[in-house]
Amino acid sequence: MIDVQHLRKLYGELVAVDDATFTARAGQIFGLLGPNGAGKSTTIGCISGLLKPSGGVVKVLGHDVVTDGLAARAALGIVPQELALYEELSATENLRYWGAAYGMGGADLKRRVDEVLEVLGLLDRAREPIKKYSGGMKRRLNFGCGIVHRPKVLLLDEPTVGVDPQSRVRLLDLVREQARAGTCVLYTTHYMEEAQALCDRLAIIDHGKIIAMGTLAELRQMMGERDLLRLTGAFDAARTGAAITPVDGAEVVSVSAEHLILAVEGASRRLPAIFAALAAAGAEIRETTIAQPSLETLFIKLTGRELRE
Amino acid sequence: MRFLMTSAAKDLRRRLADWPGLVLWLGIPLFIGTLMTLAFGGDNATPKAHVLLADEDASLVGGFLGGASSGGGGDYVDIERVSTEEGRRRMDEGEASALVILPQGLTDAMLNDTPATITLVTNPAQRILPEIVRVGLDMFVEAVFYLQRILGEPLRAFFGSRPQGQDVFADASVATLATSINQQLRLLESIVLPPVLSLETASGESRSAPGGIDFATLLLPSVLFMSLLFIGRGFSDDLWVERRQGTLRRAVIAPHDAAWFLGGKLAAGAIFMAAVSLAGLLITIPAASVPLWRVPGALVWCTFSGTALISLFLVLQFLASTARGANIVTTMVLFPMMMIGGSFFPFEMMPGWMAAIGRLTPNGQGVTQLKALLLGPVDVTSLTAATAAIGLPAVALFFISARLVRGRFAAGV
Repeated sequence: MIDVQHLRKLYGELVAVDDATFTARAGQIFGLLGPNGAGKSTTIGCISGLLKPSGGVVKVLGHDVVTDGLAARAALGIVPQELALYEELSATENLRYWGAAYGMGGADLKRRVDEVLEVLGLLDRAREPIKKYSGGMKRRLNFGCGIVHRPKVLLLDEPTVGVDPQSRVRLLDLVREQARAGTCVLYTTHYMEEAQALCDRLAIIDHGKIIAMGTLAELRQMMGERDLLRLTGAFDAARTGAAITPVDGAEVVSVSAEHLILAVEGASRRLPAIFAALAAAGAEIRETTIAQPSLETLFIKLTGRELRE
Repeated sequence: MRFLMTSAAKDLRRRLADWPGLVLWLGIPLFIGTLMTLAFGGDNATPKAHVLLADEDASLVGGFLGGASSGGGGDYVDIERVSTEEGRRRMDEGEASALVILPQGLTDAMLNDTPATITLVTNPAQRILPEIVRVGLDMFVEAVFYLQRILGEPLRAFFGSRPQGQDVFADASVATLATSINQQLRLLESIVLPPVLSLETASGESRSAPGGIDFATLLLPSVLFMSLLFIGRGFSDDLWVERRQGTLRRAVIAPHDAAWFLGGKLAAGAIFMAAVSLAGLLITIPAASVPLWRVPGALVWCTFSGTALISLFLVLQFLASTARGANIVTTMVLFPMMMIGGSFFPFEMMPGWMAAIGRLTPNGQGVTQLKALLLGPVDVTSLTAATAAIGLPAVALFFISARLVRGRFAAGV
């Protein structure tokens, strides 16, 4: 459904997306996980035809988004990160407009709008101008405008940013319903919990590059079931590396003057050995944290940075 | 096409929901128009005709006419002496309301009761002021005719008595002429003086221009186009509103050419322009005694040229990278266009050169043709030329906008 091959997007000297390649299938929720500014929205922009790729090929349902843009866009639904709604209009009017924008009309559009309003839980306030809605209601409607025309491919660009927990749960349910109905969903987020809970397949993106890709199980395997040990204090980078190397099952992920991150098998068992090695290297330890293997630990392992940095 | 109509309906609904914006669009021009009518249409202000006088005769009649602007006629006419060549050149450039050419030998012809032709060249781009000059000149020619009938004989004798090669007349000749004039006046006294006629000048609340056109009426087309300019800019500014609220991005991703989306804005603008124009024209009908049959043509014209203004302002939006920048750009275009294009001051109140430039602006052409359509006469050639001059660039600018709106503008990068 979505086929991205060697996608590249440049803004002058800045490389926003660098040789990204992935494929997402019907009924699948494909996650694009990365920190802010990693290139997720730019990738969505290129798939949706909003941005022209600097290189590579993007196809939606086999239609090239550059050379056969109208056909590719006809299959797409998009839920942008920011709200994209007419505040002066009602929910019904917004849904009708965006349905019409994708060629719907008449009784079919009316029926579908009622259906979506019901799914969104907005039927009772459908005729009010949406400027009177709460933030969560607007978010739900924003989602509704992206699915009103029954798209085969749905692009969701961080749809839960700034959403209250209750609305977030409702939105994630709606996304799952879309996938169950056979829609191919591309979901970008920087919330690893969301990605873990929602996505069948994931790509981790940083600085425009896809640095890991696979199912959640495959990605966990990449982490090697190792814990992530984060230490805060004072470290000498050269001596610390040399001191940790002899410790069995421990690997330095990143080290700076104040922080040390290690990937360690059974970290709690090996803490005394690690502390002893670091003390011998002249390190001072003020704080220690052990994290179980997760997407976040994988991200840290791959980039040396936290996902939310 | 269906998406265009849906987009137009959507924009109309949004406009109607934003009533303070509507009040501003309609209220500001009406407010300014009212102020201007009060300021200029009261007791003291009258559009002045700038008349070029080419006196090839260089004698009596030219002197009389030249003095007209310093007398009572000075309220309406401003006379400047020029050579015939300069006068014709300046008329070609539209710098004056009229050119009066007094031919060589005019004084002799007048004294000897022989035919002579005074040439009046009027500025076709002006309607009212040249009419003032024409009526004034008719009165002057008539006065000269009666003067010749009453005092022709003594005047001929007087001018015939001038010593060869001298500019001054002998005292005896002047005395003879004075005596003759006195005798003629006594003769006329019994006919002219009883019954005694007295002339009282009354000034109403607003002064009428020649042709029965009230100053406020003269201003109405200008105020109407001022409104259309504001509306045109408002509809084009909406691109930034749509970009800010994310709907533009969503719209250009939809499987339609962006021209349909922009076309919807243009169509909504056209409907709005039509409604505002109709209201303005309905005010004009009683104020200027405009026949009802003239209204549909004027309405179509206002809607057409107003929609073209949206197209112009749309493309200006892309010259800036922020909404604030775009606001500055459109303001820098809007206000000079309004001031010079007859949408603030009527052309009749402007210096000739400025009015000539102003008539070339889209709104200037709009105002000029609207006045013709409302008050007549309509010059089909001029109307066709104005339609092409406004319409063709508007179509080109629209498609340029449709191309520019996709990509970086919509993406906001």
